[in-house]
Amino acid sequence: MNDMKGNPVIGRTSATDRDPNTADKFNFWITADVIVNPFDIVESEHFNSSKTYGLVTNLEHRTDAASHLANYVSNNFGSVTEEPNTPRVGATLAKVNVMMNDGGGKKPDGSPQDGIYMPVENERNVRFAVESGIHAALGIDTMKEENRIPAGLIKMSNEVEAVVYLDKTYVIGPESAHVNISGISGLATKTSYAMFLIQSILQKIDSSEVAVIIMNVKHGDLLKIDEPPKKLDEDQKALWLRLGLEPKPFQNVHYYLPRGKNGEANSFVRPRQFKIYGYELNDCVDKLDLLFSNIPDPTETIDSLIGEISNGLMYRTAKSPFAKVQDWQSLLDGPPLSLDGRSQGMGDIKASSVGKFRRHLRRMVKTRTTGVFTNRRTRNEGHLEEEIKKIEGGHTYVIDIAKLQDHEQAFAFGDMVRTIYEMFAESDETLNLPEKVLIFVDELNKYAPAGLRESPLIEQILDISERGRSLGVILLSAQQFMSAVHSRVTGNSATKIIGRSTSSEIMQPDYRFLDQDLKLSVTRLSKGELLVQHAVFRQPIKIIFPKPAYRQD
Amino acid sequence: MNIIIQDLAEMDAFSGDFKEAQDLRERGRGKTRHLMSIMEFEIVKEFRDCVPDGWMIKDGLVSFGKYGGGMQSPKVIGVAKNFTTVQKFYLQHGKSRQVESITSLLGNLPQGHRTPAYEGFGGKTAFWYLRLRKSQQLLYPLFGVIKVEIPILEEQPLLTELLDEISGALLAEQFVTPYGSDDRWHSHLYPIYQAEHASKQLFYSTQVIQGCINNALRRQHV
Repeated sequence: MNDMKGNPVIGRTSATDRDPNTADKFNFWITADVIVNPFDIVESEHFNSSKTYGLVTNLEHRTDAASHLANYVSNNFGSVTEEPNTPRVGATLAKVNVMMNDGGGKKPDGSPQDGIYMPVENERNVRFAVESGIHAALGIDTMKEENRIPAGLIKMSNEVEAVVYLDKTYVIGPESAHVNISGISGLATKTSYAMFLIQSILQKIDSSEVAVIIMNVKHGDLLKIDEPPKKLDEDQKALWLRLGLEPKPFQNVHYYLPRGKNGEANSFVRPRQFKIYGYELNDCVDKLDLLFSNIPDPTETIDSLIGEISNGLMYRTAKSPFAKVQDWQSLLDGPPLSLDGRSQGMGDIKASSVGKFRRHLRRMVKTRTTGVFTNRRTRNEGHLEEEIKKIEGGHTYVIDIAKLQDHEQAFAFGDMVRTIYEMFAESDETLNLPEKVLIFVDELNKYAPAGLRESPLIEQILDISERGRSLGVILLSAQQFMSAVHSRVTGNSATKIIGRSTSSEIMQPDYRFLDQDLKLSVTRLSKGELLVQHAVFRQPIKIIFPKPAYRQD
Repeated sequence: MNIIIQDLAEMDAFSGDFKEAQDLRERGRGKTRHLMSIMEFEIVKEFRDCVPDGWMIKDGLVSFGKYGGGMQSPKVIGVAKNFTTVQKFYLQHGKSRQVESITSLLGNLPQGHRTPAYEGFGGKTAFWYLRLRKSQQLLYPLFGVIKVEIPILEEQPLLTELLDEISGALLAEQFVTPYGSDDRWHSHLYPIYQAEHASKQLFYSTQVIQGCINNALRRQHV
């Protein structure tokens, strides 16, 4: 049976005594030879010629066999050689989560009728939704054109496609903000999607308003984003165009690579143009706490000592105890922390605590450093904070931390985040700041791990998660396991993207927003498939997206 | 709902003469079977021509009650899941006549085999038994056997090949069973089970019928 547009009926709703249709869910049986999969969006006829849209969450095949034993007996007691002449009667049933009802027309004043959320009745025709229906079901139809950011493509079992848009005001503020991406590694989803989304944002809004800061945490993945790809398949190009985007590399990109021990850039890949950054003591005076982020300090002794040292260094005079401290070496081995190789107490802080501080600091900036901490930067080596303070809208800044030690990575990330936050939080008319800054960081679990422990770096990230929206500082983060990240960071992300995850992971409470049936589907997602939960959407949806249009070696 | 009142004293092929069974419940049951058989026969007549090249299976027998007669259409067979166990079979070997009980006849019948065809109802029908399932897998030796009945018609000579072909087609339906849903699963043919299941969905429940009768009686009293 077809309707006027030729959209065939694929089944009829089914309500039974034990499995009724409700305001939230309905079931429908599927006609023979029609393929329906989880995440397909369907429409059912309802009262007042309205349509109820729903998301298929699961499918069941039912037969009249009373038990599995009945099927065993029906095969001549376990024989696998015969085929039945009359196959057993069976039907496939789709379970659907109600997304919306369109009310069936318009009110006299032209506004749409209110949705009808009475349960869908038995025996109502069900069809696959068309693109306009999918948009209505998701709430995209009411999204302003200028606020639409292409986020991927829904591809349903009947080959119907629909472009999915995120609402700009929920991605980069002011309604809500932040995007968090989860999923196991190696499926080219998290980073690729983040870069696709950034490109999409830059193409669909006035890019001069937005500056992008990208932390490169793995290999040279993001160190050639301004170069075109060696080859981009035609179908990938077509997908970019289908989404209304141009497949092009990033423009106005600035790369910052850490210095190595020999003063050269310490990086897996060298972009065509880059700057080297390093940290000497004077760069870190007010950031020593970030260096000790991962050092347990239950009595806050180290924290007090850092306060003393920072103050001493900031306000040092020719007569102050820190007068002779000029670099890491003199801080570690000279007065006031050390005399003749022995740690000295400072005020109420015992010598043993100072000794602990020195041991950790020595390890971090001297014995275990990759070279990013140096006693003195050369003229070629910049100070990251100063570079970040020069950010402009329409430019992208890539900070490479891939080859750094964990504590160095945390320090560099914390340095950048603190600098940005302070710039925007204490912004006045004198600073020519872009309207928004978008920060992308992978492996967020390293910097804001789940748990009760607090650290200066976690506090910094929480500040951005909770107050960044109003300041214009937007966090686009990724990690393998959402459960490994601080819940206040993920909880403040208005858009959550989930790639394939393990079943143990998706059973964690962080995934409560997913229907039980959909959770299992997450374990089956293929490469390039993602689940999107957006503040505007009524249900999570499955999308595909194009491969990056920049060079990846 | 239409309620038709039937006279239980009226003779029919199942209830027999009124004197033969005085118990009204028994006669009511017989009358119902009689009416059901009439309806079945009418349905067979109606649908028989829809499939001119195919054969039709009537659930139960084609003979009509204990007085014989009944369906006389070609390409129609009756298949019964239940049959009397007191039936005796007389086999003529030359001049000698051998009597065999149904238990000995069917107990040793191998799976997929049939008995010879026997004449019934004074030559109006022929019938045979067909074992669908091994008796070792079942509770009783007579389980897993169906009785197949065919009218004897001049235009439809009952050759061995025909009976074998019919038996083969019935055997092919042995695999899907309503095990766990119906106690007679061992001798059910799945298409018949499905037809029975579908038609039963349309039945009124006992409570509804009881209510209608009570209502009718109440009105009569008023």
